[in-house]
Amino acid sequence: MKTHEFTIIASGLDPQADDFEDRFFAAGCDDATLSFQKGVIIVEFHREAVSFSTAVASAYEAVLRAGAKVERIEPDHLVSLSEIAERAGLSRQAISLYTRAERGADFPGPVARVTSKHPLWDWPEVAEWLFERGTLSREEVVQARIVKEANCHLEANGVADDNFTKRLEAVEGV
Amino acid sequence: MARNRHPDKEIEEAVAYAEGLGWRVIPISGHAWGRLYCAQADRDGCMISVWSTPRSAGNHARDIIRAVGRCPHQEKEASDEDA
Repeated sequence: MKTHEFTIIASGLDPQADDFEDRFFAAGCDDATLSFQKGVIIVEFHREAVSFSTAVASAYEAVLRAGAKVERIEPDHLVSLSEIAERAGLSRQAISLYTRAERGADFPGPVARVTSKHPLWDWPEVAEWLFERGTLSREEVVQARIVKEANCHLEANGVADDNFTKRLEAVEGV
Repeated sequence: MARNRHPDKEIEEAVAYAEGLGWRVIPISGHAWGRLYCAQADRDGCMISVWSTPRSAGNHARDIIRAVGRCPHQEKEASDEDA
């Protein structure tokens, strides 16, 4: 089985409480590192599972069992130019050229903060584009879609419903 | 400053690395060995939980070092923020 790395951003528990860590340990999160930064709980997983979707879904369930609320999954599906460069293993300048269509036609347009100086792109769209040019693997594209599916679901519902796991697995099954 | 050393070599090195950057180590009972607190000692400060026996000591040690690196309160040694 492969080890999958991802992070769950959570809230709703006091990180100063005596039982903060024990709650996560009892929920099976000893494969994660807990920290509290910028006012949020950060749970960084290295989870062994048959697939990425299974790993994320089981980690999600575990964080809920610990008594916390799941806010978001990272690495986030909204990415800056610098993050695209980092994830693709390319220079920021190279990605910047792609976005200006000087080197790469049809590079996806930004989807958020478009009128600001630092727009954001949809990582699944960008990952697909990079995959078609051989820069990223199919697996990375699928993982990008799973994270987006999870975050959109969390945003829309506040909490994930019973179909959460099924939805993530359906994305992986494509 | 006498504190207990973490029984795992890699995790102990990560803890010592944090201490070198001004983090404090507070022992705790239970499944956590202790908590690391950054120099910002109020509610906005950073905290990292250190397990006694994580599933993988190596992964845990690397996570600790990465979380220390994310601390926004670090004395401005590396002043080139990602624009």
